[in-house]
Amino acid sequence: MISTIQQPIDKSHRVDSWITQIHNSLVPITCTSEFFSFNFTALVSMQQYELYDMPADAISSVVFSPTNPDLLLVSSWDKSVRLYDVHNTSPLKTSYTHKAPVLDCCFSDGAHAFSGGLDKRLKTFDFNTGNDTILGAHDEAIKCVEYSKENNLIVTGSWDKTIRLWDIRSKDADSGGTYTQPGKVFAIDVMNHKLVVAMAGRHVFIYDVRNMKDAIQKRESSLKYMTRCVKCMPNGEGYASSSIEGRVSVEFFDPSPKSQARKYAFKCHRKVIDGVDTVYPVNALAFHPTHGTFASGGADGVVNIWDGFNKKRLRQYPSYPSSVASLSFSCDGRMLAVASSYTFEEGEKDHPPDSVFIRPLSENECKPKQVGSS
Amino acid sequence: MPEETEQTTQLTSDQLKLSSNIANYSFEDQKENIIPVKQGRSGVTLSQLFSVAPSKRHEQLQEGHNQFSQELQNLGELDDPLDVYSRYIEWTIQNYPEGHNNESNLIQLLEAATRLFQDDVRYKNDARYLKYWIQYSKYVEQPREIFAFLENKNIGSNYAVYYEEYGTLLERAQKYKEADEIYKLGIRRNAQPLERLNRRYNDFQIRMMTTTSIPNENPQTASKELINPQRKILGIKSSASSTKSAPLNVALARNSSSSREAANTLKIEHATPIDDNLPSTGKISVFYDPDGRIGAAALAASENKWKDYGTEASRKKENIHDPLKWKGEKLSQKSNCSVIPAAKLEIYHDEPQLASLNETERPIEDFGRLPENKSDTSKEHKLTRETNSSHTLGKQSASSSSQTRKAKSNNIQLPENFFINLDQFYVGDEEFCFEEIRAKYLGWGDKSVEEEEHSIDANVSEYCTDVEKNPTSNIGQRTPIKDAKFDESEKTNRPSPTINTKEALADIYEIFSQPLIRDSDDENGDYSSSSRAKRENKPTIFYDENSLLQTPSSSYNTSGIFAGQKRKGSHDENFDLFENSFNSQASAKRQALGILFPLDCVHKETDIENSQSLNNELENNSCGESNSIILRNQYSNHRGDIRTVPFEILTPIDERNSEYESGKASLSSATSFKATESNESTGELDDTFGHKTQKKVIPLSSKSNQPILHFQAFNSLPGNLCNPMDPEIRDKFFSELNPPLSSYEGFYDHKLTEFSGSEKVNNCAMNWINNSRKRHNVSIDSDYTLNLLDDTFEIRQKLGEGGFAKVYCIVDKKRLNKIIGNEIHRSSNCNDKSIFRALKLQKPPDAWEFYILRQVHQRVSASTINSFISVSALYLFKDESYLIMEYLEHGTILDVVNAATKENTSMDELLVGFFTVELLKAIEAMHAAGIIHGDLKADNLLVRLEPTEEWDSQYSPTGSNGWSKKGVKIIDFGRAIDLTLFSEETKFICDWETSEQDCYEMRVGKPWKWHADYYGLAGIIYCMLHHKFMQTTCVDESITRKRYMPLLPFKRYWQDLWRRMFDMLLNPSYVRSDSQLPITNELRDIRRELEGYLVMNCERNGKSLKLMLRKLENKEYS
Repeated sequence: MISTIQQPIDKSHRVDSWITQIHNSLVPITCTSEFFSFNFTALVSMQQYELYDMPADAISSVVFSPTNPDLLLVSSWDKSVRLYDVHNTSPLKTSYTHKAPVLDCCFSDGAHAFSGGLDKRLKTFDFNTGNDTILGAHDEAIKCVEYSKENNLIVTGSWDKTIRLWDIRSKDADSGGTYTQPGKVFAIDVMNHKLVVAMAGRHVFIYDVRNMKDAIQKRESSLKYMTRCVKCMPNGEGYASSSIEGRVSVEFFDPSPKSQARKYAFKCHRKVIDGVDTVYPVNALAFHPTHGTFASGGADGVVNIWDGFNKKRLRQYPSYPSSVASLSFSCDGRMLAVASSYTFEEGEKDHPPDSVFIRPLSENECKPKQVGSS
Repeated sequence: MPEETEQTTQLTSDQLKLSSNIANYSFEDQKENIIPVKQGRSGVTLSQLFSVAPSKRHEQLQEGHNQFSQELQNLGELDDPLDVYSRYIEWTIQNYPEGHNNESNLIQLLEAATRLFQDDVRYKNDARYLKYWIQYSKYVEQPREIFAFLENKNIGSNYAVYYEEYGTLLERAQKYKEADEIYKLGIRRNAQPLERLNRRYNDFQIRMMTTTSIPNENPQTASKELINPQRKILGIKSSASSTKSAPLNVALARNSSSSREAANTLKIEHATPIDDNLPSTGKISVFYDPDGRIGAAALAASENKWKDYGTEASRKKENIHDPLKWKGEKLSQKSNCSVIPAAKLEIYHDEPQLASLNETERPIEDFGRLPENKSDTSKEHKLTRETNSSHTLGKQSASSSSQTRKAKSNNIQLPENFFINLDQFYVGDEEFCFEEIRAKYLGWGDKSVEEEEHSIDANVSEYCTDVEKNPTSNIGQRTPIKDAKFDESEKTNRPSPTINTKEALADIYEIFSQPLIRDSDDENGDYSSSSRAKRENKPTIFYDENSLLQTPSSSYNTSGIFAGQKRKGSHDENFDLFENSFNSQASAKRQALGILFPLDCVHKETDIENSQSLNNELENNSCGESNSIILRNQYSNHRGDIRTVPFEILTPIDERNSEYESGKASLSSATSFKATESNESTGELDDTFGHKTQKKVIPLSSKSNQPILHFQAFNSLPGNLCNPMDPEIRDKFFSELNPPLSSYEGFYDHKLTEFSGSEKVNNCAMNWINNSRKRHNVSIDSDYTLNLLDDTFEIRQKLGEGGFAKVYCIVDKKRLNKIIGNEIHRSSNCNDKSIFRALKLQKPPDAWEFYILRQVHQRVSASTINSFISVSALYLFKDESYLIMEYLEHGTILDVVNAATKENTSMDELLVGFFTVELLKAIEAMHAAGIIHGDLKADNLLVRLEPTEEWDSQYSPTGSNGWSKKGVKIIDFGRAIDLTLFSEETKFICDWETSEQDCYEMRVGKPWKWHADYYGLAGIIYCMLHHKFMQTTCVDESITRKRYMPLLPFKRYWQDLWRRMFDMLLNPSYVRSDSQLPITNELRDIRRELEGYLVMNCERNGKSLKLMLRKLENKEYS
């Protein structure tokens, strides 16, 4: 009786150990093969590289096309807006110029670019025909240009303390309307129908693009100092903003206390120099289109990838030669464009050359880490 | 079947003796599997059991089970049904020495037996029945409940066994007091056998004596006994909070919801016999039931409530899974404990070098909640800012804000410091973002584009120089100008009074040549660099700060202009110095002060002379506030060139030879803004400062009888030094030339007659341009003809203008007629480039260039001959000279550069490399032929892109496959030197005012030879690479050695050979170990290297040299 009991035990043991033996022998083989193939592709395609044919002056903005992950629009202080094909060996595809330095640019669809700058004019450029047209003008320099896909509108923010909307279908320049703000507009972003406007004086207004008469919410920036950048989350729930004092805040649109309790701010882009925590401006933010994580770029030349859900830093890339002026993820999330260009935070000085780096991203590089199911 | 069982027992008893030994053997190895039984086990049974094979034993046992189950079916008909069970149980125990298992089902059996008879009155006091209950209790988790149940059912309460077992159980559970009570209860109830119970109780008491004497045995119980000795068995606990003293209560409470009532029942039931002993407390009176009625009712209730103890299966039912299919089932894993983000995490500080790609994730530091009261923080921020108004406001506010932050959370250990200067971005109540600051800095802040567009026409660019002269620069050391030998390295050592010398001039030039950016570096970085200020259209002020001790008298200034201050965009308060801003539009001022210099004339020597006259003025103004006097001079320049502003288009460098100044003054016809401007300036110069000319060490004009050249240049061909431009020397050359110049083909000498055609030519060119604008169709009109002796030309547009010459495009009528004669359609002829010529109208006349070009074409080998402009004729008159040269349509290198700048592109390195190679080839050949160009610059270099049938895209350095048709063409040999006319040691000095485009030696008045071309070459390459005129910086390698470097750094991706090439060209005397020039061989080596690079890369990375050249070819440069 006992032996009959023992036998099965023995058998099962043997079977078990046999299975584990199989596993022990099989698993490493499959692993190594995967490992090799992965590494191989990594070596071939994962190298960061610098774009050629850069503008002659500082870079103000880089934006990837919303349709073609290879096309990158770069606006510069040398008055030009350039379109690059980042995978081409001679990347510069086309360019057009303003009469003054260009401060921001954006795509509407894959074939049109919009840009504005110190010449106070909003220009559009048709990549197919190569024609540039002036749509209209602000009273002061245009600081930011964004496109609202849902409403087919261009939104511009200017130092003349106004937001203007431009209906790109109609020729009438005043089609969208002008909306006065309490301060000079420093940064805007549009997601779904929400428009976030960050201004001087730490004002942050949230509008519904469809009804611009009154702001939905009028907030004061959560950060103590001047806002540098505002970017909306891809899911439209909120936005992140960065300031000149090495902080990034993540806030939510939903005014309910429960939602508001989720907001937070954190420190970043700092260096300890001689025992003093040196705080760098955070010039650029960009949300990953699919994962919802975001990248921040500072005047220290460092780019960090943050997981805003789990409040984790996912990556820190080796620092770039100069301040990070602008960041953009390609529409498929496979590439990150980093504009390393002096942002004048210290006034005129000698600085490394302005350049744009393209950093291919592996599948999970910007993916939020799964936290235990609970 | 009783008989059968009897048989088996008989059999076993028979076998007992027989096989005791064997039996011992048979279950010896199974002893571990036999559960000991109190009464012992039959060895025979065991040996029997284990002697058979397991499978057979299984069959036997199954048979036994079957027998008993048959018996049990007839249970109802038996007098003593318990007997069947008792036998079955006994049998099971005996035959399953391993105790309960799935086969024996002992527990189920016991359960069945006990449950069946629990309400049977017959067995209430049956020893066997009680025995099974007790046995069953061994298999139950809570055996006390069994006893409580039995108590409740009043089963076996007369048997001592019950109390003994119960007592032992409690004793084992260390419930000594309760055990004691149980024993007492049993004795009181007269449980049988009483004696044994008494004995057990005594034993228990003895054990208790020993255990209680151990203090740590169960202190709680022990202490309770001490405190509450009166408490009786099953009595009421004295303390409500103590559950331990009420075992039954506890036991029942676990079992059912009616436990309280049941407990009450028990208490009531037993209260009667013991109530006398109970202390008369209020609590007990509640449960006192003298009549027994309540007790009976309660008993009935209790019987209803606790009818059944329940089976093991029923008790375990929560633990039993219903059988499920395994497929698709998930085994529940031990869940990961979730990471709860703690409110306070360790602060992470970015460490600069820790950044790495694959860094493991780190928690975001300080995910603290935002401050609830935001307005507070902003106020706080404002306050801190307001309280600090000093220069260091930014830092202070930063640190104070960090302090307030510190007060809020203890997370921060380090003081914070802003990388940026907050003052810059917070002015008053307003915030300014980086872009605004930059825009302001660049001058875009308060100017609209429209304004700018208008302002371009009247664009006034200003140039300023800071002139400082160290008073200690020596005079003693100064060698006479005659020798023109200077040792600059020594001059700082000895004091010198201020004298206008070339050396002093050289010092000033050296200062000029210092790039402004470097100035700012030197000046402790106190003020922002002014290098960009050139872009501003508004008057700009350049500040300087100098701590050098200077006496006013020793200060040099090139043109001292004192004007009102206008400060713009400055952050500095601490300049206690002179600032001069000069707005050219303030013409009155300008006239009063006298000088307006075009860009090109910035470094006019005459300025220096003139400026001295201002020194007195300067002294007066300096107020002696410090020992330092800094003069800030601004040169204003009217620029007629519309292109200039937005792109900073490079304009050709005017060369102006002082000896022609007076002649130029008479050249008054204003064909262009530029012309008038230069006239204006020169005219003014003469007017205003004419009276000072006697002061000059070197006179303006060689026509004056002051000997310019103090070297004996005239009779014997030269000594060591020579001004190659000296007309007297040239005249001498011409006179001694063998064969004479007049024998040259295409030389028409009419030195004695005046022609005075320059104005006509100029007007023709103007008209041509105007008309061609109006009329698209080009028609040849007689209006434009120019008759030079027998030849007729047709004037077209002006191509360019030098300092004292103008170049026009003309049509060779002769050739045209020839073509027309050949009956080729006229309109197509107009496009035939062969009919075009370039006319260089020079005033005063000059035959030198003609001579040199002819010499070049004679001496230079055929392979590079195309790199030099060819001249077809020279018409020399008394007042003017007309040089007819070939015409190239593609413009100069400068045009290419400007076109690229306009398009915001840069010349590709390949293209630059190509032109450089061509240029180097030409210069090597030229130097080898003994000719120095002397005025190489980007606007003296034409792009040669001749049409070719076959042209391979693969670059060929030898010029095969059509590559020889592409290249450059050097023009403007006006300053060229024919070395064969001089002795080998001869070096040259120049008397023309130099600019930064002239080589260092020229600028400082040092003798030079090939340096000029090397520097010019470097300037061209620099211009192509950087789209700017070359500026150089100087690095002291040692006291006597200075190494020059281009100011702008080479781009990272450019080839290293550029750096080496510049190093060679700018420091030619360091190239060879013997410091000898020329370095033709070394240049050839680096050229070959560059050629190799071109060959390798002419079609690479999507770039094609051929395509780039073709692009240039297709462009129109007019």
